[in-house]
Amino acid sequence: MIDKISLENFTLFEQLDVDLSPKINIIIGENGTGKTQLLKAAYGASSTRQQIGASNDDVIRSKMTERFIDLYMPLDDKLGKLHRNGAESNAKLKLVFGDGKDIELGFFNNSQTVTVKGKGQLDEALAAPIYIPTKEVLSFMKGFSSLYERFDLSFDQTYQDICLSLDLPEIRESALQEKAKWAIDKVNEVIGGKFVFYGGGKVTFQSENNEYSANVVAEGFRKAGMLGRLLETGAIQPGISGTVFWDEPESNLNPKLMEMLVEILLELSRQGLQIVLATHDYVFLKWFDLLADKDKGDQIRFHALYREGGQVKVETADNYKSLSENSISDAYSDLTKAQVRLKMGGLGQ
Amino acid sequence: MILSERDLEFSFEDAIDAIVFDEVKNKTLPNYHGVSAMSRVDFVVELPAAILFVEVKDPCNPRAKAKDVNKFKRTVEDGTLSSVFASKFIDTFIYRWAEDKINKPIHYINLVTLEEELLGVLSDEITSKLPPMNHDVPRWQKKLVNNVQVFNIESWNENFPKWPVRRVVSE
Repeated sequence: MIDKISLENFTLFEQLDVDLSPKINIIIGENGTGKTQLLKAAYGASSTRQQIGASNDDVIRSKMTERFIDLYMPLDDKLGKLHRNGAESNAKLKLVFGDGKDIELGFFNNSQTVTVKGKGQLDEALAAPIYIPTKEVLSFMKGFSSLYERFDLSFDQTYQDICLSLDLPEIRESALQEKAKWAIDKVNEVIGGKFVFYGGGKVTFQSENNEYSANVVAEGFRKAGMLGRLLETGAIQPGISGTVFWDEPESNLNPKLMEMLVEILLELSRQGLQIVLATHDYVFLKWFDLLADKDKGDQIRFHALYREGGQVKVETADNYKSLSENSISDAYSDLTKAQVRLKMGGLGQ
Repeated sequence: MILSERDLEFSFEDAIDAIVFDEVKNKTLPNYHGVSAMSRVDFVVELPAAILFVEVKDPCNPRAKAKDVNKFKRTVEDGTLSSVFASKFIDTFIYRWAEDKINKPIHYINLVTLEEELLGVLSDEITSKLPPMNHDVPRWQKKLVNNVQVFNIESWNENFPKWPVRRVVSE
């Protein structure tokens, strides 16, 4: 579990400190305020040794460097491009974890590799974080990982990571937590069947009577199916696995699926799963607002990224409405004003 | 001109006339409605170049009675809130037509004390339940209504600085 993310001269962030809730964190902000960059920074730096492929300490720096290049895909694959333009001191990325451990990565604009202080979660094999990218992957998983290994594809590392996690074998029934099983059943009930994983990325969709190609199933169902599968494989195990990062869960999701998804995420967080998601969607936020139950210990923290004087800053609040820098709310306010302007001219003004 | 609906006080400084349309108790008042079978908006405001129909719902009034809040919640849950707003508009329009007072473009602007994000959907729902007059019919010379929109206190004041609304504590 991540307590705090600190960024300095990293990509577009001059200085940013984000104190996370141990349960649900919702990041909002206009395009270009760095929501995805923040998610990837925390995901990359909370990686385990297995995830970065560093079997011994000598290669941690080089493997961590590779990981960040693969996650961000900077121009010419140069680490230095992740250093904030024009900054005169080192880029730093530090995570502090709930168990007191930390990890700090540093580099300058001409660095070939990152410096790494602390071990963070490197040695916590079971605490691997999960990153669910914006696009669903079930429709193109078949052969994706091997292609990704061989060719220079225009997909960042989060896509290969998620494909690998989805393609893991199912964990033993006895190891499947009660609430994880409940969530899987709920997803399958709503999508009217289940996705079947044959290995090598082959996925089909099975309803009561038929089996179909996963590609003919609605995109939103494929997205919900990804969550169900990650629980089946144990890639997400509340209280055991690491933080789940989810970038725009609402994209391609029928708004009616959102209630179910939020209900599941809240329940998983109650079982000890830390979740950090980035969203633009009011309906999604509002479901969190409506379904959160303080008596069950729900802790939702909203983090609004915004620009001020050329710098990206963050405002954190435990209540969506108490955010003063609220790009989603502002968008609705703009709609109201536009309708008044269009239909009423200057009346009342 | 100042009009009040329970704890909410509106000021229409540029109004030619502004009445509480929903006056059903005092028969001696000139604005006494008198037809309980017809739905009514709360206010009708005449401006130099337009008429406002205004309906107010205040579920977030800290002094609201639980019974009234529950009734409001039920109308949200069963989808009848927008139907209520639509009926109020139609019946008020007919009543004012019978009075020969429909002589300027009408705007149906309402105040509901909920989050602004929810009110755009409500505005669209009310519009969809009014007669389908959003068509381009060459024979039509008039619009039934120019704007149908729901605001909360903050967005009302932001958009209509000449018609401020404030919460007052009534005796």
